[in-house]
Amino acid sequence: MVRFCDADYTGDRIERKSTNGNCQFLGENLISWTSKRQEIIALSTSKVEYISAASCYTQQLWMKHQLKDCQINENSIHIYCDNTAAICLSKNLILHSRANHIEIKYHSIRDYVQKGVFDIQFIDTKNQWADIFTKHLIVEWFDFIKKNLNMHFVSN
Amino acid sequence: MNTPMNSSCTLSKEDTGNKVDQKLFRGIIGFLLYLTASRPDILFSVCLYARFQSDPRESHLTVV
Repeated sequence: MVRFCDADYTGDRIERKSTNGNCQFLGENLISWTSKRQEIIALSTSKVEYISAASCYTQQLWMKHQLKDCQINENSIHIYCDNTAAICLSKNLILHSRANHIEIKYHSIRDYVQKGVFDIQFIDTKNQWADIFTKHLIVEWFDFIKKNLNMHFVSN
Repeated sequence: MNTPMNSSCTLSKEDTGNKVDQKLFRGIIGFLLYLTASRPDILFSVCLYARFQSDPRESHLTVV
């Protein structure tokens, strides 16, 4: 089970809020996707990505429990994030002066990372498929992601 | 195949263009949200349009 999480820093021109986007794959199949504007105004790109990862892990956990109900024990749960600072933040339990303003609910992700329920890995922007849910893309990039999301045109 | 929205297109809440029927605008958004269940590619654009629901103007309706 793999989840891509991405965020667009201050994508909203009016309120300067950022946009979360994430998509989840079970095997090769896309099973859930979201695009949502963040509730708070983030101060840095790593905070934006951190909040995005925190909001996507709740969905991951829920899906894990759903699978457990079906007697499927999914142990390899990965979250792919394209910001190394956000990943380091989730693995390091120390609050830095630049990170201690982040609300405590977003720090709950650290607990799960420590327990090893899932791991956060780095993925470069070229393979970040959640991009499609956070910003306007050029046509080639749009088609490329669409293909990777396994979206096919159904003709009559 | 084109993208659902032009990347150079910007929408603003401070638009002073003519007001349009809010009911119509919401109706379109509602329909599009229903469509996102099977079309993930339009999700971002639809969510963006939905932000202008409270005071839709002509420019917003045109892009939708």
